[in-house]
Amino acid sequence: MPRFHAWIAALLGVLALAAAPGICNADSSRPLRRVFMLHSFGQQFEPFHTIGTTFRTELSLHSPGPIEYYEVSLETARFAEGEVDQPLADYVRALCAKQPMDLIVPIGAPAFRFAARHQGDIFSNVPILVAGIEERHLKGTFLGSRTAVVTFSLDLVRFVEDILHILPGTTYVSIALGSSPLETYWAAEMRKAWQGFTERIEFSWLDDQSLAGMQARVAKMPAHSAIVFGFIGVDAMKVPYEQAGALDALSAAATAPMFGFFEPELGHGIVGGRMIDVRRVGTTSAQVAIRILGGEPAESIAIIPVAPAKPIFDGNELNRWGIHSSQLPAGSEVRFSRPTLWQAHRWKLTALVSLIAFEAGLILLLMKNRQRLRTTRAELLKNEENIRLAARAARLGFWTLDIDRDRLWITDEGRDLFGWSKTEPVGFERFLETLRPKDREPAKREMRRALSGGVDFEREHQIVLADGRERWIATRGRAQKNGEGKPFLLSGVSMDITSRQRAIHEAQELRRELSHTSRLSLLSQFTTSLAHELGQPLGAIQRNADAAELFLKAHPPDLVEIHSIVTDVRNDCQRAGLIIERLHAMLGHREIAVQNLVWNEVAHEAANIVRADSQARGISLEIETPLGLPHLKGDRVHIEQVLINLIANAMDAIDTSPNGERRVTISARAKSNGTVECSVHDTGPGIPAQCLSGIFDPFVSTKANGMGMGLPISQTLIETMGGRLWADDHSGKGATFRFTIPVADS
Amino acid sequence: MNDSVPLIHVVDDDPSFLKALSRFLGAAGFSVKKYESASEFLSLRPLGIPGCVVADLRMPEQSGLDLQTALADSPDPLPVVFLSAHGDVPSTVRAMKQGAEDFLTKRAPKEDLLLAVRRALDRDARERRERERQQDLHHRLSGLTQREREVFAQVVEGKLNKQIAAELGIHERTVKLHRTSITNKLGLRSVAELTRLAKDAGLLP
Repeated sequence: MPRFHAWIAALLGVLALAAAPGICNADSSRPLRRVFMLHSFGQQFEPFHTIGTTFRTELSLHSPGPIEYYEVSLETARFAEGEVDQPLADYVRALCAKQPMDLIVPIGAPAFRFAARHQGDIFSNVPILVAGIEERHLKGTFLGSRTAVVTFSLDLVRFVEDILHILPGTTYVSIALGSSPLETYWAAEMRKAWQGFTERIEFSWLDDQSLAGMQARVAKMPAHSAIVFGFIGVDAMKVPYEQAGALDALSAAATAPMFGFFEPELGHGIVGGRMIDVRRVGTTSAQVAIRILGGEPAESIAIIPVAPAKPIFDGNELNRWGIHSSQLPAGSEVRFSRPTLWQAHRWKLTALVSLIAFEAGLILLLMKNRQRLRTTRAELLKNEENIRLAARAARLGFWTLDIDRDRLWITDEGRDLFGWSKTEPVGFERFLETLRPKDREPAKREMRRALSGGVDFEREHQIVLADGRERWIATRGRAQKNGEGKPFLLSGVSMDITSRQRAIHEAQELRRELSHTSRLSLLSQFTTSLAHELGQPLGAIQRNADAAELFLKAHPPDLVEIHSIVTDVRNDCQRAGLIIERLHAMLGHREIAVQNLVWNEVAHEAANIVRADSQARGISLEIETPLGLPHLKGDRVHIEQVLINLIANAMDAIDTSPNGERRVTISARAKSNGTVECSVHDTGPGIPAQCLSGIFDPFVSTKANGMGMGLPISQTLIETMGGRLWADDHSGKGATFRFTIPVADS
Repeated sequence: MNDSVPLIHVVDDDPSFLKALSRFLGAAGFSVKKYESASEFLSLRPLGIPGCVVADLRMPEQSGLDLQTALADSPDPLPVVFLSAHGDVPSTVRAMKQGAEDFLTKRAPKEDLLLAVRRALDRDARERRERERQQDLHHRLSGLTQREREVFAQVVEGKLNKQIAAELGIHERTVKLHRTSITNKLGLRSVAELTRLAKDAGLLP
């Protein structure tokens, strides 16, 4: 955690190194020593402030005896060195006269020069320790006796080289520098030193700017540029800046990496480099001071240079400007290598990162889902569009019925289908109203069945539209049950089946027409037979009438006989009537009417129609009815039609073999599978094997004037009744045609 | 020779019509006997009684035409009047060809029916008389000697006694004696009568 605190301190940049004025603790038995510290600008100006502070602290710590510090600043040095010396010199002289000083410590070049100027008159016999001047300031300066100097050295060329090493592409460098005499001196030194770089680098000097102006300039640095923070004690507007004030202000505005000369600047926005270790200057000075105070002659110590520190960099700034540590000079130290957020808050960050990762995962998942949703939605839309198209093409209407509230949601196609407007609220009742009255009750029953029995609601119904057109609609729906198993929704689909229904109807009509035509054709073969059949009762009636006439003429009329005649006439009339009815049934157009039938009646009725013909042709017609034969379920006329057709064929077959027995036998027997098998057997030549398979095909006829429709139609009729029709050949002993009819429900 | 009342045989498989027709014919003054099929008629009819048959043309098993054929072959034929519930040309033609007395529909006016029946009865009477006469003739011819038959055959051919004598190698007077005997035996008075008899007996073309 100390690193963290250090980082916090650096970040805040407000940790002031407080001076510890006054007397420091030490061995009180030793004589008190007085040290006079002479500051160049003010106590708070850097780098002198750090040097002074370190010096005082170190000296107090390591001095064998107590030390009293006296501190004076050459405030005027900021503006014009030397011109206003006198009042300060008088003050210092007075001070030193009152309190004899053991050591004079000028800090910085102006203070050094002041001390040098006044060594003779004020500081005579007092050793002088110059704590921290750049060695350039010693040039041309005569170091007096009793003077020791702790120097440091600024290698300006190397400074720029280092910048170029770290930022090789640098083409523009701004130099922020104050405008005090000391600073002006350094500006000149720098211009001189950096002359060799001007081809490569454009230098921009900001020493004529106020701090605000400098701020504005460093805020708009071009690409590939750097800022050199020289030294700002006083800006061009003569505003003084103590400690790191100016640096902090510039650093905040800087848009390029900033480089400086003094180590204390590190942490205030300076990237770093080979900087002057001003604390060591302070520490070294303190050590020298102890030696001088211990009695060692200052002149023997003379000049002690403090080597430049190894390259030091501010990790935060490196990060800020994206400078990788591999770009730094070998042996560089990175300070404030700010624990990355990761190191500082490992656990918090782990948690945070995990959270973020988790959330990112979630977001990713969501996005993926959303993408998928979008894809799905697009597909759905496409599908929906397809369905809509299909629905429109197929005239399909989708609907959902809320059963409790009787609200029907239905697609526009559905509404079109039922002839409802797009806005009209509809429900099951409205649906019922659309139906023909006779269909409503069955629809209700079907609905109840669907809801209670869990079966599909399925109906084909006919509706009459407002314009009188009729439409057939097939509707199919399924109930959805709520948690309690109670149906609450019925969803389904309705479809226009008008054309299908029409086609079915037409096919039925056609089949009926064909069956009718076939019947007419069939019966036309038996007109004589029919006339004969009808002639019997009519003849009887005629003769009875004649007889009655004669009986009436008698005296007295034989009323008993006449009564008997009336009875007979009535019976024959009924008989004739039945024949006519049957003929009408056979000849007329009719709907299929499935009913329970007695085999014997059906067989005889059919036989009666052909009987006269069979008699004329000398063919006997026998009907066999086993006892206990169940009733049949079918259409009387159609079964008779089939029987007549088969008998007619049988008789024709017999006619083709003139010799032998001439008999047609009609019989029936119950089968175990719920049908009655009826058969027509003849004594004809049988059916040639090659014909057997094709005899039920239409237009296949062995007869000269046959149309070949009799058997196919018979087959259709039988199949419509749920039966089957086939033929057996008895190889030379005739043929048998058989068909099955379902047994009637008991 | 037979004075019994003619009997009308009604044959029809339709019981109702059989009853009605019989009733009518009865009411019209005829003696009627009913049969429900041709076979019943053929086996049960009384023989030797004049009358006629009124039969349905179409009947199961034996039809009216079968009945007629069987009847014609019998020693006691009767004329047949055919009835049909519905007249159609082919069966009518067949019936008439086979010698049907008449062909009527079952609903024919009663006058037509009665006329047909009476005609049939008349014909039956006529044929019956003729049959009796023929039988009598054959009976009489059967009383002639061999020589008399030979002479009879020559006579009916219109040959003269002299020619007959020469033909048979006998005397002309003998021929005359035979002729007298023949007319006596046959109950005839003249050769003309003899010739007519021979013709009736089928001896002459």
